[in-house]
Amino acid sequence: MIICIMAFNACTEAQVVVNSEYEKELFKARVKLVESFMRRFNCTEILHTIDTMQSGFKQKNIISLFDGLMFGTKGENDSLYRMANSFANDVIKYKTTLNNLDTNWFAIATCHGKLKGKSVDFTLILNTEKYAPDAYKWVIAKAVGEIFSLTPSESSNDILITPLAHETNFIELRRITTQKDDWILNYKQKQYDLDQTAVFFAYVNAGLLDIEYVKDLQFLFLQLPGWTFSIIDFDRETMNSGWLITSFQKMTDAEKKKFLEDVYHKK
Amino acid sequence: MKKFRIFSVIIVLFVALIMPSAVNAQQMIVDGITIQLPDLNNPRHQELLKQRAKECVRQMNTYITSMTKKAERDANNELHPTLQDRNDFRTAALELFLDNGDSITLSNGVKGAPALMETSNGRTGFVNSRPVKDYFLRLINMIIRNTYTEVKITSTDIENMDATNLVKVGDRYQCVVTYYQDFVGRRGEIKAYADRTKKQIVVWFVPYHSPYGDEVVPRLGDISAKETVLK
Repeated sequence: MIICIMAFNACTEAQVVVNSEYEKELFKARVKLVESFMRRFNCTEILHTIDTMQSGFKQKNIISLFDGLMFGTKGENDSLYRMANSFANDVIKYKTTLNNLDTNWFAIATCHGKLKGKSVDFTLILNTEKYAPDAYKWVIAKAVGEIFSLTPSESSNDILITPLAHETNFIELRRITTQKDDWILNYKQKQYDLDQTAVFFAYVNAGLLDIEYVKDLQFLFLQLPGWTFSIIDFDRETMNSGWLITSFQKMTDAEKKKFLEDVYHKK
Repeated sequence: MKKFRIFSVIIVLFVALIMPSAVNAQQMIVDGITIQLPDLNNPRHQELLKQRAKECVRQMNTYITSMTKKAERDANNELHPTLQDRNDFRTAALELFLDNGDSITLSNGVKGAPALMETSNGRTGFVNSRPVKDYFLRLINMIIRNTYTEVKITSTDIENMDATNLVKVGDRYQCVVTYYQDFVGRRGEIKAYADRTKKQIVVWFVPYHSPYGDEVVPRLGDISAKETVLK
């Protein structure tokens, strides 16, 4: 009972005192969630400073999702700004919408962790996957990093399984795992390309690799025909903040197909 | 043909009457009891639950402010809040978490890791994760051990919080609420440390059958800290 009364009294003190109308506007304008970014991209949510009665409001809404600092000081004459307008026009022309269940958007997480006690950084690419009629989850599509490129500390024609090893019951196979562990790649078939993602899973499964935190996170989208773009979270005290488009470029269907085949291991 | 059409209409009406809530009904059996679940395709249900999620987060923030409040003497010259009061606020805050912050029981009954609080240091950028239970204990210890003579933690009000739509995870529902938290640590008159952190907190909704009816109850999960801006 006492705690309830104390909590009630503390209630007003627990909240940020938003000192000015400007701070209120900042909070409202900020694209606080990836979902908010999607809502604004889909124009199911319009930035409150845009007049929806005016024509072109949807273009303005999409343009507001760009990191404004990437445009130079030339204003509407900036070539990148014109390209962004072309991008926004295509979003409306193709009626492109973003949805969590799309198979052509990805999270790119730069992770910091420990591999055998040593600090390391690497990247995980994740996508969403449906696992039940009304449920989905994130899954790891690819792992990328120096630590997954198993390079032997020494390569030589002398490091090999000898041609007559078969006559001695392949005793040498025992030796290749008891000498230097990182020489093991010397014994692989020439055409075999080591899959970095498999190495990641093997490391974690063996208890060798721990992820401590995600250093950096961005999302890559391929839904818009002819374009690809990525977003990151800009935490700054301006109206142009939160999850914003940090890069965008033209991408053909063939290029997208190649990228998707690589990420979905369909080569 | 005409008879067939009339017959079809009758069948459709019959099905619609007998199973009125079949289109939108979500049900689940917990301990032998059928529980009515919210319809995630209903915008009104979504908004109500998101509001409840934000209220749960606000309640947690209220407890955090209370457990770190500067002690002041009351009319009887006694210092409040006492250590016991602070621990009571900590206990109350943990009760808002899934499994009281001990461990997150997954929907198949398997016990997972406890709810984590990820915090960032504004000066070094170092990111650290610890169980929520330990984070609250550290906040209290900051006061008890005089790391700061005064700590003030304030958080965004509901109107400035944002929440994702709820999604289904196993037999539960999940959304994420984002808010900002200001931390000011003073040593005497000097503001020794200050930051503003953007936090994202997972809010679970767990089906619950009470004597008063079926509902889904909000319970908090992991909290992640984003970039910190020094004020």
